[in-house]
Order: sequence, then structure tokens, then C-alpha cells
Amino acid sequence: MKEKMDVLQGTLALMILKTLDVLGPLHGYGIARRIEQISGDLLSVNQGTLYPVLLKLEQEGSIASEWGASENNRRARFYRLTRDGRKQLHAETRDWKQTSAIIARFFAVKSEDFS
Amino acid sequence: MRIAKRFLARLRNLLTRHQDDQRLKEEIAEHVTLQTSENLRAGLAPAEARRQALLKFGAVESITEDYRSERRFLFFDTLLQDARFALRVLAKSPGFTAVAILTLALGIGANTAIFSMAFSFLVRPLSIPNSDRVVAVSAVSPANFLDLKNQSKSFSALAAYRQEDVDLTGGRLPERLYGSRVSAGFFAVTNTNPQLGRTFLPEEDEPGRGRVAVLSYGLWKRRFSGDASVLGRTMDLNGRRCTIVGVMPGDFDFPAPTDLWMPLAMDTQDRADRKNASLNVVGLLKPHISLVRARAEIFAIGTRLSAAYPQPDKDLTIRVIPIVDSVEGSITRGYSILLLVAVGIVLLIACSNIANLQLARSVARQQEFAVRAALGASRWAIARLLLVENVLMAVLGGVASLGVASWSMSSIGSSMPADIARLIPGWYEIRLDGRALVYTLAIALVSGLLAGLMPALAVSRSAPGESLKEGGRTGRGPSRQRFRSALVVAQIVVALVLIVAASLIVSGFRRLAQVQERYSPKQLLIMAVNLPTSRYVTPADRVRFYDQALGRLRSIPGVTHAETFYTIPLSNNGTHWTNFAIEGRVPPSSQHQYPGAILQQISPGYLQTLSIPLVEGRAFVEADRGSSRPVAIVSQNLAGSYWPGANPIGRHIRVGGPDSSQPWLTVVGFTGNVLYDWTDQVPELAIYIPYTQSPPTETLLAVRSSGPAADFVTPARGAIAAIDPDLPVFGVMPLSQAIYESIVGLSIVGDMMAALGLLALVIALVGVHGVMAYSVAERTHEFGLRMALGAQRRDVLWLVSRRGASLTAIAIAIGFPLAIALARLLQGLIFGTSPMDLGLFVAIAALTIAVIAASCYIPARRALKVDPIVALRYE
Repeated sequence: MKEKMDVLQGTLALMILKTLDVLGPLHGYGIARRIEQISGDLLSVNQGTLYPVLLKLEQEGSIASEWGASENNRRARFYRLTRDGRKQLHAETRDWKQTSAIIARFFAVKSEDFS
Repeated sequence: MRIAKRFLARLRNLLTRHQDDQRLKEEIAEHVTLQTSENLRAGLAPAEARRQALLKFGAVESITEDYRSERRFLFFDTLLQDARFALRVLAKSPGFTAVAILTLALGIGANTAIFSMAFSFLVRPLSIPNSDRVVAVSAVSPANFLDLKNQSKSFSALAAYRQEDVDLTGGRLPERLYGSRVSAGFFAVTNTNPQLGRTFLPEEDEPGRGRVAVLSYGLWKRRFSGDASVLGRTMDLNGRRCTIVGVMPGDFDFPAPTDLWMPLAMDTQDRADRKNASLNVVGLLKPHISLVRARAEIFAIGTRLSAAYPQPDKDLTIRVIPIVDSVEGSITRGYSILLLVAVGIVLLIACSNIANLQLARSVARQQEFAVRAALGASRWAIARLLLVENVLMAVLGGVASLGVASWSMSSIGSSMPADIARLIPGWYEIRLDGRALVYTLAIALVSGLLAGLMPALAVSRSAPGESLKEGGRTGRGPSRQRFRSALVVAQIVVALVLIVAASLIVSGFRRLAQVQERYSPKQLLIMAVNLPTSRYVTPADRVRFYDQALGRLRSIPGVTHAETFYTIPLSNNGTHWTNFAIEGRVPPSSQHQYPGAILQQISPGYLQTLSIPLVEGRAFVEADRGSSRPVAIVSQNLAGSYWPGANPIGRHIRVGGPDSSQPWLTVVGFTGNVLYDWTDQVPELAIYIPYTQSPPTETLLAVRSSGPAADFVTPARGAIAAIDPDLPVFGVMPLSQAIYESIVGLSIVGDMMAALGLLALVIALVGVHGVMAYSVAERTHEFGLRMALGAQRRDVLWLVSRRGASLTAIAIAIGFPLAIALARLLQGLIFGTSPMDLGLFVAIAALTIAVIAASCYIPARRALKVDPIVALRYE
């Protein structure tokens, strides 16, 4: 249970970073919408889980936040990527690609390949 | 890196206690609003749009929790909360809190004090900085030392020293000092700079040089009143004029004891000596060189030397050990460990006591815990509350314990005579330092956890529903009651064992003190002299000196006897030990199997002066001289072992080992046995010979007077000075003081053990009282009922005391066999008494019973005062 949560949090963090990288500063709802659009199921419920992850990233210095005006002209917290965050995103993207390439190769293997 | 940042951010939040749940709330509100308007756009009805938005957001509470735990150290928050609550709980029952904190303060304080002492005895007996890099090399001959020094590469400095007493003459009073002759580099090994002036130059270690000296701080203060202009002044050491070049700092005393250091400055003949292993060697390891490597190197050099010089060095093995391990002190070590164990036991009793009190209280607090549990507190949360309470108490006790520790250390310190203290390695290193503080804190935490563990377990195991249902009449589970009784029994048992050990040591000391009365030691003044061989060349010179000295001493008004002998009774050092052979017996094949005895060179009146009975034969007389037949007197146990059933008088005995050149001595009498070394279980064999036939170079002179011995110090010194003004007279003191100083360590250990035993008993008493009081309070209802039904006061009293009596009986039944076992174990440390001292055991049992009866008395009276009506209404 706990482990699954960590995995989810890890992926969520990466998605947040990537979203902010592509779209620039966004408020929480905006990030949630964007992730929902792209990932489908993953964030269609429990959107609130986003906020602890945002705080974690902020405390780690990967993102920063400030108050701004939302679409309907109300106060909203806007998050943006920091320089550290961009570095982290690059590093993790590379790791992620490596990992998925390895996993993909494993799945591609058939038993006759060993004979 | 990121983890560190996150940690710092949390720490910042903790310290600023920055509350920003507000921000999350606002963000959530905004999120939901935006989602709702999105849903509205999608065509949902307003109410449904908001409901869907909230559903999609998820459980706000649990998200808020996650958010908070991300923001702060949740653990710290609850801990602080628990601590605040625990403080309130403790403040609410000040009586309990005070008893608990006091108990812990005493237990922990005693531990800190003894830890500090044991630490300096066992780990830090030397006043050398970085002593873990300093090693001792086994004693070697001068030539071997020089080879070692030239060939070894493991040491940044390697030096030799020899401890040798020196006579300081010229000036007011000749004095005998603890001297150390040290080779060049010695002060580099010990890594200590002089407080004043300099240490020795390398060229001062050359033959013929070395007429310089470095003073110890103590000698400088004592003899030169701390005068800084002492540098460059001269003093006469062993009749040679030496220049003072430096003064060492006050905490430097190596090799202990040393009053002054002089260069070794061996001459060419000395340097060529490969036979006598007369030098102690110390070395400072080079950085990055391990002990193992140095050991291997020295061993290799030793093997080479042994091959090169097979004659003297055939079996040469040179060992290298950490300097700390080279410090002697087996008795100190034994006592330190004994005291450490004892004091640890006292702390255990204290902890179990608090656990016991807490258990009693936790029964009373059952309802509180039940309510907490019903409101959703986890078992761990409740257990944690109790643990925090106990740890808090222990830490408070720990703080108070520092006062206890420093008080007890200073009172122990002041009870040790300075002359003895400097002979105990590590005595002056005893202090309450950072290490002791850390130790105190650590044992405070451990005792808090120990004391809290049982109550916490008990509470977390109980089912909340039961306690709520029964409305307060809870916690009478027989198993809990049994557990608490077991704790009390264990406490009494352990206290008993400690008290028995303490009384054995104390009674051993008492018995020694009684034995010494036989010698009327307060009227006997002793003083030591050491005749320099430069001026007292032949035995006849020495005999002449002793004859004159005894004659002059006898002529002092008020003096009844003046005698000379080598060793005082009940000392534990300075006995003169010799092998001996019996005429007509086949000698053992090797030296190790040769019998040994204490050798005393005495004057004719010695036996009478010390009231040592002459069992048979005659004492020495003035006519036993160098020219007459050599004679000896032996102790009864020697006669009994070597001439069993026969009359020893007229038999022959020879002093020395297999290659002894001594003449055969004719036994002219035998005496009662004397305990010369108080650490012996039975008196050693002894051989007495007249000083006139075998005059020693060093000896004691003694003056028996009608009045207090202290009055004769000046005239006795004057009598010796009249014969030889340059001869130092030292160790001048009444025999009573000399004996006291030799057994003062035992006395201090006895006092400490007695204090620990009493402490244990008092703590156990508090425990018994707590258990009894609680069980009475618990049974108030029952007592009322019984009395209403016609029970007499006597019956109630019996009901109450039966419990106490059975606990005591069990404790004594377990405690005494354990105590006897312990006493047997400690036999080597407990002198002058047998481990099976029945009278003592009966007395201690009586004391224990009395104490327990007293601690039952108050609860029993409370039980008797119970008014049946009130009791029945109770609850």
C-alpha cells in the first residue's frame, strides 16, 4: 500500500515538473487538469493528492510558488519550475527513459531468443 | 541534497511554528471552485457540479494530514504535545513526582559518580595527552634499548625511564623524593610541555652530563613555594649538585609518582649492559602506524637481538602494549568493577520502583486511558504517553543527579589522604566532565524507558471496554498484582545482596582496625631511612649507624623503646620477600617452586615492642653480632609447615634462592604469626634476622613512647640529624596512621558500598510501602465489609501484614543464598572476614524485617481506621 503510494508520488512529481516545464507557471487546478488530460485515469479522482506533492517539491527547492490571479480573477497559488527543478527534470527524464528502455527490452524478449 | 533541503525546510517550519493550513484551505477552495465552473460549463446542475468537484478532489481531511506531515516533523509535534501533557500530569501529583525524581536522582547520581571514578581508574589512569597513541614496551636492558631506539621506525619518539628515589639535601630539611631518570625524548613521548623553563636537551642525556632536574608542580609549590625564580638555582640530589631547568604542569605525573625528573645520562659501562632489564620503555607511535605494526616490528628486532646475543638474550621477547594497560592496580580494578555492578543494581532497583509506582498509578488512571482509547487513541499513543512521562521524569532526575554526583565525588575525594591518592593511578583524573554528562543523560534516558516500559505494556494490553463498563473498579487482575509483588521481592533480594556485600567489606575493615590495636599503634612513631651506599659502604658502617640511632632515640625523654624493622604489620606494599631453603630438605628443581617468606631485619626488642608473642626459644640479644653465630627466628606457620611435629630450634635455614651465597642460619626461636599484608587471607610465613648480622640499606626506625607518637616527631628527627644531618628521614608518622593509609582504600570502598546498600534498602522500602499502601487502598471496600460483618482489628491487621510478611519471607529465602554466593565470588576482595558470617546475616535479616514491618505499618493503620459505613459507600 505504502509502496504503491510512493511510486505514485514519484511519478506524480515527475509529471508536475514536466507540466510546469512545458506550460510555464500554473496553479494547482491547472496542473491537475493538464495531468488528467494527458494521463487519463491517473488523476481523475483524488486530485487533492497533488497538493502534498507540490509542497514536497517546493520544500525540496524544485519549484517555487507565489500568489497570482486565476482565470476568474480570484487569488490562486501559482507554481513555477526553478533552476534546480529543471536540472532535476532533465536528470529524471534521462533515468526514466533508460529504465523504460530496459524494461521494454525485457518485455520484448521471447523464449526462443535464448535457444 | 534535496533531502537535506527538505529537512531544513521542515526544521524552519518547526522553529517558526509557521501555521499555513490557511494556504492549503485557500488553494482547495479555489481548486473546487474552478472545477465546479468547469462542470457547470459541461452542463451539470449547480449542486451536482459542486458535488462532483468535491468528489473528484478526494478526502480533504486525509490530504490535509498528508500535507501537514510533509510540512513538519509529525513525530516532534506529538512528542512536544505528549511532553506538555506529561508535565501537567506530573505537576498534578507532586508527591509521587518528587519521590520518583528523588529516587532517580540518587540512583543516577551514584552511577555518575562511580562511573567517573571507574572511568579514570580503568580507562584513563594516566595524565598523558593522547595516551591512546602511547605504548609501553616491556622492560629491557640499556644496550637493548639503544638498539631498539636505533632500529625501530614505528615511533616518532622512544624513551626509557627508571624510577629511583633520590635524597634532596642542603637547605632546610633533607628529604627523600620520588625521582625518575628519563632518557632524551621522554617528554616528546608524553607530549607535555613544561609550565616553566624547559625540559632536557639531548646533550644532557650524554654520560657525565645530566646535572639538571625538572621539578613537579607539587614539589615546586611545596619546597620552593611556587617561586618563578627557581630556574637556574641548584639543589643537591644524592649528594650531587644539580641545576633546576624546568617545572612541569600540575596535572602531569608520569611515571606516577614523580617529584622530579633527571636525565638518565647512562655512562659507557651502563650502555653496554645487556643483562639487566632495568629500563622501562615508552614510545609514541608515528601517525598511521598501528599498534599491531609496531608490535610486529619490535618483535622482529627482539628476535634479531636474541640471535645476535644468545648469551644474555636467549629468551628475549619484547612486548608492546597500550600504555594504559601497563598501569598496575588490580585491587583498584576489582573494586571499581564491584562498585560499578553495585551501583548499576541500585539504579535497576530505582527503575523497578518507579515502574511499580507507575503500575499502581496506571491502575488508578485506567479510566483516563479507556476514554482516550475510546476516542481513538492507538495503543502505541497511550504507551508513548507513559514512556514520555517516565523519560521526562528521568531527565529531571538526571539533572538533579548531577548535584548528587558532584557532592558524593567531593566527599570521597576529601576522605583520601593526598600521600595515598598520588599512588593510585588515575585518582587525580577523576572529574565530572563532558563524558560523565553524556553518560548521565544516557542512563537517564535508559532508566526512563526501563521504568516506563512495564506500565506502558500493561496499559496498552488492557481492553478499554472493560474498564469503562466496570466504572472504575478495575485493575485487580491477579496477574498484575503478582507481577508487582515479584518486582518488590526482586528489589528486596537485590538490596539484601548489596547490604551483605557491604557489611562484609565494612566488617573486614573493622576487624583489621581491631587487629591493629594489638600494636598500640598510636604510641609508636615510625620513620624511614635509606642509607646511601656512597657514604655507608660496608655492612659494619650501617650497623654502626643503626646502633647509634637506636641509642640516641632511646635517650629521648618519654621514649620507652626504640627499634628497627623493615615492614609494618597490615601494610600491603613494601614487604621484603625472599626465597629460603631448609637444611636437610631436597631443594625444589626450579626457582619458581622455592618456598618464600617475608624477611624482617629487626632489632632485639622488636617482638616485644609490637607485642608479637615468642612461642618458644629466645629473642635476639645484643650479643648476636657479625662475629657470632648467624641466627634466625621463624614464624609459627613456617615452623609448622617445614618441621611438622618437631622442635624447630637448632635447625638451619638459609635465605635466598638456589644460588644463594648466604650462610646457614640457626633457628633460635619461633613467634606467633603476623598479618603483614592485609590483602592476604592468612598470614604469610616470616623469617626474622638480627639487623646486626644483616644490616639493610633501607629500614624503618620506630619509637615507642608513653604519650602520643606525634609529640616525638621533632626530637626523633633531631636524634637522626645529630648523627647524619644529610640523611633524609621520611614517612614519619604514627603507626596508626601508616596502617590507616594502607587500608584507607578498603575503608572508602566499604563506606561506598554501605552507602549503596542503604540507598538500595531505602528505595526498596519505598517500593514495599507503595505496594502495601496500594493494596490496602484497593481493599478498603473489602475491609469495611469484613468489619461490618464482625471482623476484629486484629484480623484486619493480619490480613494486611500477611502480604508483607510473605513477601519478606520469600525475599530472604532467595536473597541469602545469593548473597553467600556473591560473598564467595568476592572472597579475593573481602579481607579479614569469612563469607559465612552467621551473626551478620541474622542481623541483616532482622534489619530487613524491621524495615519492611515499618513500611507496612502506615498502610496497616490506614486499614484499621476504615469506617465500615464509609468503606461500603466507597466507590
